[in-house]
Amino acid sequence: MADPLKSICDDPLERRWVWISLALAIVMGTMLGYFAVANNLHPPSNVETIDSSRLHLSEEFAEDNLGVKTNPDGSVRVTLVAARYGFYPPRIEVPVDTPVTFRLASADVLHGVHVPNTNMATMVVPGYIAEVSTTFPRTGEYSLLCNEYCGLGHDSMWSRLVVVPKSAGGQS
Amino acid sequence: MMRLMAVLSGMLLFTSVANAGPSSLVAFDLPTLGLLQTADPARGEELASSGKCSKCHGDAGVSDDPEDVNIAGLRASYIYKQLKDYQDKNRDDKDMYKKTRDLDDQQMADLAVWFASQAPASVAADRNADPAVLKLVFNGDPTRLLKACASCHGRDGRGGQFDHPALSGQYPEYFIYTLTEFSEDDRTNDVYSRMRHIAQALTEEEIEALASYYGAAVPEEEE
Amino acid sequence: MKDDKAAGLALANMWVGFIAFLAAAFMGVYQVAERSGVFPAIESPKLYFASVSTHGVLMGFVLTTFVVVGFGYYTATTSLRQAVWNKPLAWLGFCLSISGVLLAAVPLLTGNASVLYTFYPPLMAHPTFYIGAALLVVGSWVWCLQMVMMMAIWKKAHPGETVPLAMFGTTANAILWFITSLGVTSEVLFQLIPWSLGIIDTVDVGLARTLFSWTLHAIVYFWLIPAYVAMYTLLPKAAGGRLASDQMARVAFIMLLVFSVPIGLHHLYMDPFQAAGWKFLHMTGTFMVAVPTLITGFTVIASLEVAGKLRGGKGLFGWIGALPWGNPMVTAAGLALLMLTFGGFGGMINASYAMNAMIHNTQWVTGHFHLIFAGTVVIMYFAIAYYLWPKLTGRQLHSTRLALTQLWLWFIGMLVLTLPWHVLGLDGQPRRISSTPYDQVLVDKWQPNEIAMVIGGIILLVSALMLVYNLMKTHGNAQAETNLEVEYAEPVHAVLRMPPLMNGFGFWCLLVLVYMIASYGYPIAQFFLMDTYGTVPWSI
Repeated sequence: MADPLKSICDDPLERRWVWISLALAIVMGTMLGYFAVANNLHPPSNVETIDSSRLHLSEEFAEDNLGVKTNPDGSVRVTLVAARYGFYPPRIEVPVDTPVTFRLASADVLHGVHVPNTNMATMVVPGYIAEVSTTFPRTGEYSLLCNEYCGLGHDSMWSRLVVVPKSAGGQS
Repeated sequence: MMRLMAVLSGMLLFTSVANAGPSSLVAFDLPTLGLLQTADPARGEELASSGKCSKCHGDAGVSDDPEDVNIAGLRASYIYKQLKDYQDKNRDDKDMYKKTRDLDDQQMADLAVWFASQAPASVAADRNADPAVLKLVFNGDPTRLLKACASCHGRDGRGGQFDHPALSGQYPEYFIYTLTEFSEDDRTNDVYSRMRHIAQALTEEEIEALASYYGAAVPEEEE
Repeated sequence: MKDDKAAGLALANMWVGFIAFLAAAFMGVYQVAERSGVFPAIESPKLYFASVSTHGVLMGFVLTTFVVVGFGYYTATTSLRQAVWNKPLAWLGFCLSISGVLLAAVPLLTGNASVLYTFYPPLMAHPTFYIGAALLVVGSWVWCLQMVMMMAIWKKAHPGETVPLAMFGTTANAILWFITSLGVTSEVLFQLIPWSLGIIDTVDVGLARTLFSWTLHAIVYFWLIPAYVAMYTLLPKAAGGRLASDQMARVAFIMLLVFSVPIGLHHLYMDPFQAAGWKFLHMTGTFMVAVPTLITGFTVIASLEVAGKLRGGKGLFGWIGALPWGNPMVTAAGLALLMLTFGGFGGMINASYAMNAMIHNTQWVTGHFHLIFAGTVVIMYFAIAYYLWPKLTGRQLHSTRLALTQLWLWFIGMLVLTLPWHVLGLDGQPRRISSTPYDQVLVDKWQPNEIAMVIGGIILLVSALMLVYNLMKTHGNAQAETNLEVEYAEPVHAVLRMPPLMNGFGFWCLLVLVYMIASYGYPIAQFFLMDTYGTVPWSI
């Protein structure tokens, strides 16, 4: 079968390179697709809106609804608010090796959050709820750091995540 | 019977605590911001005079008495929130409740913009410049999750948008009183417990030191 | 006559770019020193974020736009041997853009536009910042029109002939820039300016970020394509050889035009207001857009091999040593290709869908784009300047040795700056911070990298000063430049007839339009179809 590139590419070596490049792009895309579907590995994409200007008056992000709750199936739900300049509640405890779903909303501006050395990361966009799920395989003390410029106090915006052994349970 | 009473009252107490309601009903949404935008400082001045605010807050929001509360130059959004919280009893003070009980939202906004436009008290010339206090103010203390005061309250202590009040120029006594209130859960209108977490992490000595950093010059005693 | 080649336009535009570059270089050193924590006296979030905002705008919008526009005008006139289509209009465009810069400079330098070069709402700058930005972009659209008109006029006057490759690439870039800048222009015109003037109360932050993402990826190709134009059309002859393939170069430019814009959602992977399916679609396009760069890598290196072999180099690698490394264009291209390799791999990590979470908004990202943009792209801007200045001024380059030293210092400084920067990101340091009041464990881990970066920054500033000095001194050089012609490379195999699809952009523009509607149609429309909550202005 004739190489369709022959009419625009004289050099057989370059033709081979182009096919390799195309294959590389397709293989990487396919691999990512496979892992995305097989392991349900997606970035935060829940498309839910909320009125950030009235956040504490909402149901999900009311003050007494924040923090760590354990679901009947043993998984954990953490509800946090990002507001200049901290994440609230500022200290949360979750059990190790347990599926944890974080639900975050901003009370003011754009924030971002990631926990170094873990998979927990998401943008927190005013007007939208952010949801990200992960499991923490190692106990220890971690930090939730704000990673999007949110004003002059951005440097100070961080809070504490403690991953505890399963028997100890989790709370905030 | 006693057991039933105990269980029922327990449930009642539980629900009342569990569904304690928001710590403040004030939200800085478009209606509230609209109110503040259309507020009239002249009307506010009249209200301040008829309400005799000067008794505790001085003629223009700065009192002669260092045991009083300076409110001049605070952001209008912050003043409005406090007035509304007093009215809603989300901030506990009998005197302030009496003063705000009969005000409507527009009037509270008017008062807020008037006091906001007044010149704040200046910080004492001999303010505390101890390195330990400066560290707290500008760097916080990561080991206690204490963020720098300056991050929310501004490097100049003049506060931040909506409900981060100015600290500079407040009387030290009131400053200490306020942080103590927060640390003992006596003041709870800091939505999401933002100040309660901070106050509970600070020591008494640190609170006093911060008060002397931010504090207004104490006026000379009158003869 | 020099004037027919638009030398004045070229010099004016490029000087504005390089002056902005030098000012921003000083700010860069301040920033990296401030953040290291080693100099407490200079620590100030207000100053830091004003500096970062100004540095970003100057480097990302001013240096780039003006150098690309200036180089574009000169490429058009010299490759087509044709006058500028409408010179007064071209100067008007220049004036518009410069007015925009000056207008935006005021709030930037006074701390009233410390919203960074991405200016995401709801942090709000003074309205003159947004108006200035809009003027800068609109001024550059004049250049886009000029490039398209000049190519059209040339084709009419030379029916059936092949558009010179340098112009083909330049016009592809002009069209690309127009298409991609529509995103940020819409955000600025319909959201940010009315919002900052108080005409509308709120903006939907999700819509604003989506519109910005439309521009955010392809803008880097707007910056990069001129570097590729230089590599394809100036480098081979400078190296003493020929271009390995004219056609593959065109394929690369076409692929860049088609695939650069409809992939912007990879900048929004971590944003919850876009659904995963759309992000996945953009991911596939993002991997496709790597292909033209891989093609460029091959063609350019093959061209260098041709040159090396022609100069007597033998064997698999012998040709490398035989290349005229004393020519700044050759050295710059070699160093650029090295940095492109490192930076490109980093880019592939960023593109990798859920894996992006590991590095999103960490210092890895800042390290990445400094390496690939400040490294690969900007070093080629230097090379273009060294090549063109003698022809533009009629004077010999002040010092070739200084130029070579400057290029090597830029390369070394860039590695010293950006390699630790990538490590900082992997170690979890967040982006856009002016200090590190975090757990001591983290801070201690980060500190050595911070120190290294300060050294990198200083090396880069020295290099920047050398560049501007060299170019300045060229103007007054006593020695005249004898070779005033731009010597475009000839392909190894001459193409007798170029298929129309590789000689024009009508079809490809249509393809981009269809692709854009498919990939951005719903992601933008959704904001008008669902009930969303806008956000009021927030001060910094």
